[in-house]
Amino acid sequence: MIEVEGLTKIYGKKDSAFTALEDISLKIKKGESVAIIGKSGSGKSTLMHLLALLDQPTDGSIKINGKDTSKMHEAELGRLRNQEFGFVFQQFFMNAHETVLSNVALPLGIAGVSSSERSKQALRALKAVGLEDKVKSKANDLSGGQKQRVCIARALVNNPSVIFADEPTGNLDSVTGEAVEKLLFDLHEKKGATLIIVTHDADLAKKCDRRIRVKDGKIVKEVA
Amino acid sequence: MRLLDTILSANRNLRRNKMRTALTVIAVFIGAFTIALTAGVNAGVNDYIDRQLGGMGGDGILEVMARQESGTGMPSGGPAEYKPDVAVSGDAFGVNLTMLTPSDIGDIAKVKNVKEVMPAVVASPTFVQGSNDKKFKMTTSQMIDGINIDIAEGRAPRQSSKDYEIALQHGYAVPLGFKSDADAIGEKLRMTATTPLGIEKTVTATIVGTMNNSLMSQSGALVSNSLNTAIHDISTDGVDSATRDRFLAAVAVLDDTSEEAVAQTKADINKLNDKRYEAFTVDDRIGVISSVINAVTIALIGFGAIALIAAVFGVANTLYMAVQERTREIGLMKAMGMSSRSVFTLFSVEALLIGFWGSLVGIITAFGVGQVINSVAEDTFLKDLTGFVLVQFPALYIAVIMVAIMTIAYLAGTLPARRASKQNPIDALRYE
Repeated sequence: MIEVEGLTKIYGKKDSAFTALEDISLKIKKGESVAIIGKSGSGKSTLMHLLALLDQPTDGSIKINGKDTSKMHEAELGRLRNQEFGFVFQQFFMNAHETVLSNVALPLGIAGVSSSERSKQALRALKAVGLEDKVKSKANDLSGGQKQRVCIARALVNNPSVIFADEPTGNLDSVTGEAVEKLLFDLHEKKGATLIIVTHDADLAKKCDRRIRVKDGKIVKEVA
Repeated sequence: MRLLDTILSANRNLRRNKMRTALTVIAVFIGAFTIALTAGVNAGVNDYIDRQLGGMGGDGILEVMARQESGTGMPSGGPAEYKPDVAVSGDAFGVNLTMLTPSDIGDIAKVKNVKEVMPAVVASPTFVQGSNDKKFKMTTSQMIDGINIDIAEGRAPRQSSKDYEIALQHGYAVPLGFKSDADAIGEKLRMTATTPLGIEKTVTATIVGTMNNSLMSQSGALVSNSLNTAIHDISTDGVDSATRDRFLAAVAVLDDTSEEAVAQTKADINKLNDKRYEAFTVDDRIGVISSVINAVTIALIGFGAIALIAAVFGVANTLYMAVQERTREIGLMKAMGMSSRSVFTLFSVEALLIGFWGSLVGIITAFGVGQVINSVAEDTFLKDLTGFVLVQFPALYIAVIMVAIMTIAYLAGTLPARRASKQNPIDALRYE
């Protein structure tokens, strides 16, 4: 459960100050799928970064499962992201020289999980996305669709309560994109994790339970 | 992140750019090699000097000489006045050397804390003969109890023994007709000296031991006092005592051998009779040699240090490049919850590993080169100095060098590691 109250983000100072988000309040229930939509520059990415605790708001508060995050230290925020969040990015962000398995296991390594346990859990996550035969491949040798499926496995490996997906199909052709979308929603339903997708793809947004449209730093329309 | 995972991960990252890592390691290696080899030579030389001299029982012994007047050159204070009571001997390369007389010896013996003063009686046989009757030349010196002798076989002669005891330098036994050093122990050596009138007289000594050759030893054998006196008596037979009893040096044996007492006694002797004498401890003698060696060592280690300073910039540069290259990876890891401290550690460990490999390879290479130098030296210029291992690597030296270099590498890595740890995840992920 994510509760947002009066969230404001201002970049720069005084004369050059730019208000990216202004007084945003919203609630996202556990297990819900939400699309954040809007044109580029609308502030939708800023909103996602704040929700994902990757950036500090200028004003307002974010509560995750009832805990106020504004008073947390950097290390605490890191631990929260590591244990509760999963990330899928448009540009994949993989360590190209490392194996698929160690890429998927990355969040577990950061958490300090033992090597054998990491392999076991990463393998399970790879099975869930249907790539168990690519375990030993180098990340670089995969196709775009396969890469994004590896990233979904990575986002799932720590059993997060929230998955953030930033334009997950933005770099994929429509056929592969659809397969990835289907996988994402299947897993979201099976695992019961909250899914927050930033996208300007209307078809993808339609598949979500709820759509939040952001324009000029404000929520213009919430569609249930 | 677990420490082992951090180390493995840092190692993988270093291997990612093998050539760059290798070049940086080479820079560290050059410094480590220079320092390790220099320190190794220093350790070897100092170890040898310690064994040859440091053990000379130096604590309780002062060597006393007459203070030399500057009578031959043109001293700043003008020519020295002639003093009839000061003994001068004119036989050393035409230079007037002031010698000690029996009355000097008596005065020195009266100084507080001096147990006994032994004049250095220079007496060498004309020739010596072993079991094969061949005649050989030999110089001898007096044994002084308390001095440690680098004994190879048997034992050292006793200073006050009534028997005629002698210990030979390694290398004398075989030409004299004995099978080996060990074989000569307990055998007889006939020593012949010549009186001032040209008459040869012979005494028979017992060989009690053999000694390793020493950098510092000037004589072929050590003899007991009684034997030395016997030879001296032959070679000065009939000479009046005023001419005979002139000594270049004397050895004062002290009662209290503590550092302060020795220093006090040394000062007392130096003040005696209008500062007519000069006393030296064994440390004074060794100190000169050691300080020269240490100065050379410091100079060479200085070159190694300069190489290391250059390497420090190499390490820092390599890591800055790595941080820049891996900006997005750092952003990803931070987004996934990696703490700034873990990011800092990850890059610091990379710097430490560069230091580790550089110093390890440097020390191993220095060790190998040291072995080659040792085996060459043993067969050539150190052939006569038994027991002299030129290059040595005590474990402590190796540990200190490795820890020091790894520390330096770590410090070089802190700036880039700090930059990495300060990255903001969003900016880092957006970095192209």
